[in-house]
Amino acid sequence: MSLRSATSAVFRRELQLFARRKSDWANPLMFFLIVCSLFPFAVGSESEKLKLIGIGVIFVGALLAAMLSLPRLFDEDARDGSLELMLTSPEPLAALILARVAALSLALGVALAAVTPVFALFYALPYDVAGMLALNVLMAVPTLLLVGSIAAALLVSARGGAILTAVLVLPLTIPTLIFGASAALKVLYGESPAAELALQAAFMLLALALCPLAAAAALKISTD
Amino acid sequence: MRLTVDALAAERGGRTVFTGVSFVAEAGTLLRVSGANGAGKTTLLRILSGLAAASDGHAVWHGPEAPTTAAEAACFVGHTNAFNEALTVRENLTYAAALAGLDSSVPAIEFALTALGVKLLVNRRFGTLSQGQRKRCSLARLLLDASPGGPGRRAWLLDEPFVALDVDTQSQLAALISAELAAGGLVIYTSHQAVAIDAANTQEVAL
Repeated sequence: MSLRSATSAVFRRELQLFARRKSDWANPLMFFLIVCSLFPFAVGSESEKLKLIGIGVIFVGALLAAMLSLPRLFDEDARDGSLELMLTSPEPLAALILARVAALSLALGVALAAVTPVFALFYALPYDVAGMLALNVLMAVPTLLLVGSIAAALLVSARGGAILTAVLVLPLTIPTLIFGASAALKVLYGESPAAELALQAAFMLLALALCPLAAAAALKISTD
Repeated sequence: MRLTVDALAAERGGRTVFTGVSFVAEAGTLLRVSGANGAGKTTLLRILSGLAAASDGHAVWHGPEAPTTAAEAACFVGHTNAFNEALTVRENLTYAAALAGLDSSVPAIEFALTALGVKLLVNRRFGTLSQGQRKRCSLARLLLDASPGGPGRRAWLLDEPFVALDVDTQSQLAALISAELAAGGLVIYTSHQAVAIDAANTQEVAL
Protein backbone atom coordinates (compact mmCIF):
# COMPACT_ATOMS: atom_id res chain seq x y z
CA MET A 1 0.00 0.00 0.00
CA SER A 2 2.69 2.44 0.90
CA LEU A 3 4.71 1.32 -2.12
CA ARG A 4 1.74 2.29 -4.23
CA SER A 5 1.37 5.68 -2.59
CA ALA A 6 5.10 6.34 -2.91
CA THR A 7 5.28 5.42 -6.59
CA SER A 8 2.10 7.31 -7.41
CA ALA A 9 3.48 10.37 -5.60
CA VAL A 10 6.64 10.18 -7.74
CA PHE A 11 4.58 9.72 -10.90
CA ARG A 12 2.26 12.61 -10.07
CA ARG A 13 5.07 14.98 -9.13
CA GLU A 14 6.87 14.30 -12.40
CA LEU A 15 3.74 15.12 -14.39
CA GLN A 16 3.08 18.23 -12.28
CA LEU A 17 6.60 19.47 -12.97
CA PHE A 18 6.27 18.67 -16.65
CA ALA A 19 3.02 20.59 -16.89
CA ARG A 20 4.20 23.53 -14.83
CA ARG A 21 7.49 24.26 -16.49
CA LYS A 22 6.96 25.06 -20.12
CA SER A 23 10.63 24.64 -20.97
CA ASP A 24 10.41 20.96 -19.99
CA TRP A 25 8.20 20.08 -22.90
CA ALA A 26 8.77 23.07 -25.16
CA ASN A 27 12.55 22.60 -25.46
CA PRO A 28 12.47 19.03 -26.78
CA LEU A 29 9.61 19.87 -29.14
CA MET A 30 11.39 22.97 -30.47
CA PHE A 31 14.57 20.99 -30.96
CA PHE A 32 12.60 18.31 -32.80
CA LEU A 33 10.98 20.95 -34.98
CA ILE A 34 14.32 22.56 -35.85
CA VAL A 35 15.96 19.27 -36.83
CA CYS A 36 12.99 18.16 -38.94
CA SER A 37 12.44 21.49 -40.67
CA LEU A 38 16.06 22.14 -41.66
CA PHE A 39 16.69 18.90 -43.53
CA PRO A 40 14.22 19.41 -46.40
CA PHE A 41 15.92 22.74 -47.22
CA ALA A 42 19.34 21.12 -47.32
CA VAL A 43 18.30 18.01 -49.24
CA GLY A 44 16.06 19.62 -51.85
CA SER A 45 12.51 18.93 -52.89
CA GLU A 46 12.93 15.68 -54.82
CA SER A 47 10.14 13.72 -53.15
CA GLU A 48 11.51 10.14 -53.41
CA LYS A 49 14.80 11.12 -51.81
CA LEU A 50 12.97 13.16 -49.17
CA LYS A 51 10.78 10.24 -48.20
CA LEU A 52 13.72 7.92 -47.59
CA ILE A 53 15.69 10.52 -45.66
CA GLY A 54 12.63 11.76 -43.79
CA ILE A 55 12.04 8.53 -41.93
CA GLY A 56 15.58 8.51 -40.57
CA VAL A 57 15.69 12.22 -39.80
CA ILE A 58 12.40 12.20 -37.91
CA PHE A 59 13.36 9.18 -35.87
CA VAL A 60 16.83 10.46 -35.00
CA GLY A 61 15.37 13.89 -34.22
CA ALA A 62 12.85 12.38 -31.80
CA LEU A 63 15.52 10.34 -30.02
CA LEU A 64 17.85 13.32 -29.66
CA ALA A 65 14.98 15.48 -28.44
CA ALA A 66 14.09 12.88 -25.81
CA MET A 67 17.71 12.78 -24.75
CA LEU A 68 17.57 16.48 -23.93
CA SER A 69 15.28 15.58 -21.05
CA LEU A 70 17.64 13.06 -19.47
CA PRO A 71 19.53 15.48 -17.22
CA ARG A 72 16.29 16.58 -15.60
CA LEU A 73 15.69 13.06 -14.29
CA PHE A 74 18.05 13.45 -11.34
CA ASP A 75 20.22 16.57 -11.70
CA GLU A 76 17.74 19.12 -10.47
CA ASP A 77 16.72 16.92 -7.56
CA ALA A 78 20.35 16.45 -6.62
CA ARG A 79 20.81 20.22 -6.58
CA ASP A 80 17.81 21.08 -4.44
CA GLY A 81 18.23 18.03 -2.20
CA SER A 82 14.95 16.30 -2.99
CA LEU A 83 16.89 13.35 -4.37
CA GLU A 84 17.61 12.55 -0.71
CA LEU A 85 13.89 11.99 -0.19
CA MET A 86 13.98 9.25 -2.79
CA LEU A 87 17.21 7.76 -1.46
CA THR A 88 16.02 7.67 2.15
CA SER A 89 12.60 6.26 1.30
CA PRO A 90 11.87 2.83 2.78
CA GLU A 91 10.47 1.79 -0.62
CA PRO A 92 12.78 0.19 -3.22
CA LEU A 93 14.63 2.84 -5.17
CA ALA A 94 14.24 0.95 -8.46
CA ALA A 95 10.44 1.15 -8.18
CA LEU A 96 10.61 4.91 -7.55
CA ILE A 97 12.93 5.41 -10.52
CA LEU A 98 10.63 3.31 -12.69
CA ALA A 99 7.66 5.48 -11.68
CA ARG A 100 9.62 8.57 -12.53
CA VAL A 101 10.81 7.35 -15.93
CA ALA A 102 7.31 6.07 -16.69
CA ALA A 103 5.79 9.50 -16.06
CA LEU A 104 8.42 11.25 -18.16
CA SER A 105 8.09 8.66 -20.95
CA LEU A 106 4.36 9.10 -21.00
CA ALA A 107 4.50 12.87 -21.15
CA LEU A 108 7.42 13.15 -23.54
CA GLY A 109 6.50 10.12 -25.64
CA VAL A 110 2.98 11.36 -26.24
CA ALA A 111 4.19 14.90 -26.99
CA LEU A 112 6.82 13.76 -29.50
CA ALA A 113 4.57 11.14 -31.10
CA ALA A 114 1.78 13.71 -31.47
CA VAL A 115 3.91 16.07 -33.56
CA THR A 116 5.61 13.31 -35.58
CA PRO A 117 2.83 13.02 -38.21
CA VAL A 118 2.95 16.80 -38.71
CA PHE A 119 6.69 16.70 -39.33
CA ALA A 120 6.15 13.74 -41.67
CA LEU A 121 4.32 16.16 -43.97
CA PHE A 122 7.59 18.06 -44.52
CA TYR A 123 8.92 14.92 -46.17
CA ALA A 124 5.78 14.07 -48.16
CA LEU A 125 5.37 10.80 -46.26
CA PRO A 126 2.03 9.00 -46.67
CA TYR A 127 -0.32 8.87 -43.68
CA ASP A 128 0.25 5.20 -42.89
CA VAL A 129 4.03 5.70 -42.77
CA ALA A 130 3.58 8.77 -40.57
CA GLY A 131 1.36 6.78 -38.23
CA MET A 132 3.88 3.96 -38.03
CA LEU A 133 6.63 6.48 -37.27
CA ALA A 134 4.55 8.02 -34.49
CA LEU A 135 3.88 4.58 -33.00
CA ASN A 136 7.59 3.76 -33.07
CA VAL A 137 8.51 7.08 -31.49
CA LEU A 138 6.03 6.31 -28.73
CA MET A 139 7.74 2.95 -28.15
CA ALA A 140 11.31 4.20 -28.54
CA VAL A 141 11.07 7.08 -26.05
CA PRO A 142 10.54 4.82 -23.00
CA THR A 143 13.41 2.56 -24.12
CA LEU A 144 15.71 5.53 -24.52
CA LEU A 145 14.74 7.09 -21.20
CA LEU A 146 15.07 3.77 -19.38
CA VAL A 147 18.55 3.14 -20.78
CA GLY A 148 19.37 6.80 -20.27
CA SER A 149 18.34 6.71 -16.63
CA ILE A 150 21.36 4.51 -15.90
CA ALA A 151 23.73 7.04 -17.44
CA ALA A 152 21.90 9.95 -15.83
CA ALA A 153 22.15 8.22 -12.46
CA LEU A 154 25.86 7.53 -12.89
CA LEU A 155 26.60 11.09 -13.92
CA VAL A 156 24.27 12.86 -11.55
CA SER A 157 25.55 16.38 -10.85
CA ALA A 158 28.76 15.68 -12.77
CA ARG A 159 30.20 18.52 -14.81
CA GLY A 160 29.57 18.14 -18.51
CA GLY A 161 27.28 15.25 -17.66
CA ALA A 162 24.82 16.01 -20.46
CA ILE A 163 27.27 15.27 -23.26
CA LEU A 164 28.72 12.26 -21.50
CA THR A 165 25.20 10.93 -20.95
CA ALA A 166 24.55 11.18 -24.67
CA VAL A 167 27.83 9.40 -25.46
CA LEU A 168 26.92 6.56 -23.11
CA VAL A 169 23.31 6.24 -24.20
CA LEU A 170 23.36 6.68 -27.97
CA PRO A 171 25.21 3.45 -28.84
CA LEU A 172 22.74 1.47 -26.75
CA THR A 173 19.78 2.92 -28.61
CA ILE A 174 20.99 1.87 -32.06
CA PRO A 175 18.77 -1.27 -32.14
CA THR A 176 15.75 0.89 -31.31
CA LEU A 177 16.72 3.25 -34.10
CA ILE A 178 17.21 0.47 -36.64
CA PHE A 179 13.94 -1.28 -35.90
CA GLY A 180 11.96 1.94 -35.64
CA ALA A 181 13.16 3.30 -38.94
CA SER A 182 12.88 -0.01 -40.77
CA ALA A 183 9.30 -0.54 -39.54
CA ALA A 184 8.37 2.75 -41.20
CA LEU A 185 10.32 1.79 -44.35
CA LYS A 186 8.43 -1.51 -44.55
CA VAL A 187 5.15 0.37 -44.47
CA LEU A 188 6.45 2.71 -47.16
CA TYR A 189 7.20 -0.32 -49.38
CA GLY A 190 3.85 -1.88 -48.54
CA GLU A 191 5.20 -4.75 -46.47
CA SER A 192 4.25 -5.89 -42.98
CA PRO A 193 6.23 -4.23 -40.14
CA ALA A 194 5.19 -6.90 -37.61
CA ALA A 195 8.70 -8.28 -37.02
CA GLU A 196 10.23 -4.84 -36.41
CA LEU A 197 7.42 -3.88 -34.06
CA ALA A 198 7.82 -7.09 -32.09
CA LEU A 199 11.55 -6.51 -31.73
CA GLN A 200 10.97 -2.88 -30.77
CA ALA A 201 8.55 -4.00 -28.07
CA ALA A 202 11.00 -6.68 -26.92
CA PHE A 203 13.71 -4.07 -26.43
CA MET A 204 11.31 -1.89 -24.48
CA LEU A 205 10.38 -4.77 -22.18
CA LEU A 206 13.99 -5.75 -21.68
CA ALA A 207 14.86 -2.19 -20.73
CA LEU A 208 11.82 -2.07 -18.47
CA ALA A 209 12.99 -5.14 -16.58
CA LEU A 210 16.69 -4.33 -16.23
CA CYS A 211 17.25 -0.59 -16.36
CA PRO A 212 15.51 0.57 -13.16
CA LEU A 213 17.58 -1.90 -11.11
CA ALA A 214 20.81 -0.77 -12.75
CA ALA A 215 19.86 2.90 -12.40
CA ALA A 216 19.09 2.43 -8.70
CA ALA A 217 22.48 0.82 -8.13
CA ALA A 218 24.20 3.56 -10.12
CA LEU A 219 22.41 6.30 -8.20
CA LYS A 220 23.45 4.81 -4.88
CA ILE A 221 27.07 4.67 -6.00
CA SER A 222 27.18 8.18 -7.40
CA THR A 223 25.51 9.87 -4.42
CA ASP A 224 27.45 8.03 -1.76
CA MET B 1 14.07 3.74 19.78
CA ARG B 2 17.80 3.40 20.17
CA LEU B 3 20.84 4.00 18.00
CA THR B 4 24.02 2.01 18.46
CA VAL B 5 27.12 3.18 16.67
CA ASP B 6 30.14 0.96 16.88
CA ALA B 7 33.65 1.83 15.67
CA LEU B 8 32.29 3.78 12.74
CA ALA B 9 34.74 5.08 10.15
CA ALA B 10 34.14 7.15 7.03
CA GLU B 11 36.02 8.09 3.90
CA ARG B 12 35.37 10.91 1.48
CA GLY B 13 37.19 10.82 -1.83
CA GLY B 14 39.75 8.30 -0.57
CA ARG B 15 40.60 10.39 2.50
CA THR B 16 39.73 9.13 5.98
CA VAL B 17 37.36 11.62 7.63
CA PHE B 18 36.96 9.95 11.02
CA THR B 19 37.52 6.55 12.59
CA GLY B 20 36.45 4.76 15.71
CA VAL B 21 33.28 6.69 16.47
CA SER B 22 31.20 4.77 19.00
CA PHE B 23 28.19 5.83 21.03
CA VAL B 24 24.74 4.71 22.08
CA ALA B 25 21.82 7.11 21.96
CA GLU B 26 18.54 6.29 23.67
CA ALA B 27 15.11 7.76 23.01
CA GLY B 28 14.64 11.14 24.68
CA THR B 29 18.25 12.16 24.14
CA LEU B 30 19.50 15.31 22.48
CA LEU B 31 22.79 14.43 20.84
CA ARG B 32 25.00 17.17 19.48
CA VAL B 33 27.71 16.27 17.01
CA SER B 34 30.55 18.74 17.34
CA GLY B 35 33.78 19.19 15.49
CA ALA B 36 35.73 21.61 13.32
CA ASN B 37 34.86 22.28 9.69
CA GLY B 38 35.63 19.16 7.69
CA ALA B 39 35.60 16.90 10.74
CA GLY B 40 32.83 14.83 9.16
CA LYS B 41 29.70 16.00 10.98
CA THR B 42 27.58 15.97 7.85
CA THR B 43 29.15 12.69 6.74
CA LEU B 44 28.21 11.10 10.07
CA LEU B 45 24.59 12.26 9.72
CA ARG B 46 24.47 11.02 6.13
CA ILE B 47 25.71 7.60 7.24
CA LEU B 48 23.15 7.49 10.07
CA SER B 49 20.36 8.37 7.64
CA GLY B 50 21.45 5.71 5.17
CA LEU B 51 22.51 8.15 2.46
CA ALA B 52 26.18 7.25 2.62
CA ALA B 53 27.99 4.04 3.44
CA ALA B 54 30.48 3.71 6.28
CA SER B 55 33.93 2.46 5.36
CA ASP B 56 34.08 0.47 8.60
CA GLY B 57 31.99 -0.23 11.68
CA HIS B 58 28.21 -0.30 12.13
CA ALA B 59 25.35 2.03 12.89
CA VAL B 60 22.24 0.10 13.92
CA TRP B 61 18.80 1.53 14.59
CA HIS B 62 16.58 -0.35 17.02
CA GLY B 63 12.85 0.11 16.82
CA PRO B 64 10.49 -0.65 19.69
CA GLU B 65 10.87 -4.39 19.05
CA ALA B 66 13.51 -5.24 16.49
CA PRO B 67 16.37 -3.59 14.59
CA THR B 68 15.09 -1.45 11.78
CA THR B 69 16.46 0.35 8.75
CA ALA B 70 17.64 3.94 8.71
CA ALA B 71 14.95 4.71 6.14
CA GLU B 72 12.24 3.79 8.60
CA ALA B 73 13.91 5.02 11.77
CA ALA B 74 15.19 8.46 10.86
CA CYS B 75 14.26 11.68 9.14
CA PHE B 76 17.18 13.66 7.75
CA VAL B 77 17.05 17.41 7.14
CA GLY B 78 20.26 18.58 5.56
CA HIS B 79 21.66 21.83 4.22
CA THR B 80 19.37 21.73 1.25
CA ASN B 81 15.64 22.10 1.64
CA ALA B 82 14.74 19.09 -0.51
CA PHE B 83 11.81 21.01 -1.99
CA ASN B 84 11.26 21.76 -5.65
CA GLU B 85 10.88 25.44 -6.47
CA ALA B 86 8.23 24.96 -9.14
CA LEU B 87 5.86 23.11 -6.81
CA THR B 88 3.79 24.52 -3.98
CA VAL B 89 4.61 23.89 -0.35
CA ARG B 90 1.71 21.48 -0.10
CA GLU B 91 2.77 19.50 -3.17
CA ASN B 92 6.33 19.27 -1.87
CA LEU B 93 5.25 18.10 1.56
CA THR B 94 2.77 15.59 0.15
CA TYR B 95 5.58 14.14 -1.95
CA ALA B 96 7.98 13.99 0.99
CA ALA B 97 5.38 12.31 3.20
CA ALA B 98 4.39 9.74 0.59
CA LEU B 99 8.02 8.80 -0.09
CA ALA B 100 8.77 8.43 3.60
CA GLY B 101 5.70 6.24 4.04
CA LEU B 102 3.99 8.82 6.22
CA ASP B 103 0.51 10.26 6.32
CA SER B 104 0.26 12.61 3.33
CA SER B 105 -3.31 13.71 4.03
CA VAL B 106 -4.30 17.36 4.13
CA PRO B 107 -4.73 17.51 7.95
CA ALA B 108 -1.30 15.96 8.54
CA ILE B 109 0.36 18.53 6.32
CA GLU B 110 -1.53 21.46 7.78
CA PHE B 111 -0.68 20.26 11.28
CA ALA B 112 3.03 20.28 10.45
CA LEU B 113 2.92 23.69 8.80
CA THR B 114 0.90 25.21 11.64
CA ALA B 115 3.45 24.04 14.20
CA LEU B 116 6.13 26.00 12.35
CA GLY B 117 3.90 29.01 11.81
CA VAL B 118 3.84 28.78 8.02
CA LYS B 119 0.38 27.42 7.37
CA LEU B 120 -0.52 30.45 5.25
CA LEU B 121 2.21 29.53 2.76
CA VAL B 122 0.68 26.16 1.98
CA ASN B 123 -0.39 27.05 -1.56
CA ARG B 124 2.58 29.27 -2.44
CA ARG B 125 5.19 28.09 -4.88
CA PHE B 126 8.31 27.17 -2.98
CA GLY B 127 10.46 29.27 -5.33
CA THR B 128 8.65 32.48 -4.30
CA LEU B 129 9.48 32.13 -0.58
CA SER B 130 12.28 33.80 1.35
CA GLN B 131 15.19 31.72 2.66
CA GLY B 132 13.82 31.66 6.20
CA GLN B 133 10.34 30.68 5.03
CA ARG B 134 11.85 27.93 2.90
CA LYS B 135 13.77 26.53 5.82
CA ARG B 136 10.66 26.53 7.99
CA CYS B 137 8.56 24.76 5.38
CA SER B 138 11.33 22.23 4.89
CA LEU B 139 11.54 21.61 8.65
CA ALA B 140 7.81 20.87 8.61
CA ARG B 141 8.83 17.47 7.20
CA LEU B 142 9.94 16.54 10.69
CA LEU B 143 6.49 17.01 12.12
CA LEU B 144 4.64 14.93 9.56
CA ASP B 145 4.77 11.82 11.69
CA ALA B 146 4.01 13.71 14.89
CA SER B 147 0.52 14.52 13.68
CA PRO B 148 -2.29 12.88 15.66
CA GLY B 149 -2.72 9.28 14.62
CA GLY B 150 0.64 9.17 12.85
CA PRO B 151 2.94 6.13 12.89
CA GLY B 152 5.79 5.60 15.33
CA ARG B 153 8.34 8.31 16.00
CA ARG B 154 11.38 8.69 13.84
CA ALA B 155 14.68 10.09 15.04
CA TRP B 156 15.48 13.57 13.77
CA LEU B 157 18.83 14.04 12.07
CA LEU B 158 19.38 17.77 11.68
CA ASP B 159 22.36 19.19 9.85
CA GLU B 160 22.78 22.83 10.87
CA PRO B 161 19.06 23.38 11.42
CA PHE B 162 19.46 26.92 12.78
CA VAL B 163 21.14 28.36 9.69
CA ALA B 164 19.05 31.02 7.89
CA LEU B 165 16.52 31.21 10.72
CA ASP B 166 15.80 34.46 12.57
CA VAL B 167 16.07 34.55 16.36
CA ASP B 168 12.34 33.98 16.91
CA THR B 169 12.29 30.95 14.64
CA GLN B 170 15.42 29.58 16.24
CA SER B 171 13.71 29.56 19.62
CA GLN B 172 10.57 28.13 18.01
CA LEU B 173 12.60 25.28 16.55
CA ALA B 174 14.38 24.79 19.88
CA ALA B 175 10.97 24.48 21.53
CA LEU B 176 9.85 21.94 18.91
CA ILE B 177 12.99 19.90 19.55
CA SER B 178 12.35 20.03 23.31
CA ALA B 179 8.77 18.89 22.81
CA GLU B 180 9.94 16.04 20.60
CA LEU B 181 12.46 14.93 23.21
CA ALA B 182 9.88 15.10 25.97
CA ALA B 183 7.59 12.92 23.86
CA GLY B 184 10.28 10.27 23.59
CA GLY B 185 12.00 11.26 20.35
CA LEU B 186 15.68 11.16 19.56
CA VAL B 187 17.32 14.23 18.06
CA ILE B 188 20.83 14.26 16.63
CA TYR B 189 22.06 17.60 15.32
CA THR B 190 25.06 19.61 14.33
CA SER B 191 25.25 23.33 14.90
CA HIS B 192 27.77 26.12 14.89
CA GLN B 193 25.34 28.39 16.66
CA ALA B 194 24.85 28.24 20.40
CA VAL B 195 21.10 27.87 20.66
CA ALA B 196 19.75 26.87 24.03
CA ILE B 197 17.61 23.74 23.76
CA ASP B 198 15.74 22.54 26.80
CA ALA B 199 16.50 18.83 27.20
CA ALA B 200 16.59 16.34 30.05
CA ASN B 201 19.32 14.14 28.54
CA THR B 202 22.04 15.65 26.45
CA GLN B 203 25.02 13.95 24.93
CA GLU B 204 27.87 15.19 22.79
CA VAL B 205 29.92 13.36 20.22
CA ALA B 206 33.12 15.12 19.27
CA LEU B 207 34.66 14.25 15.91
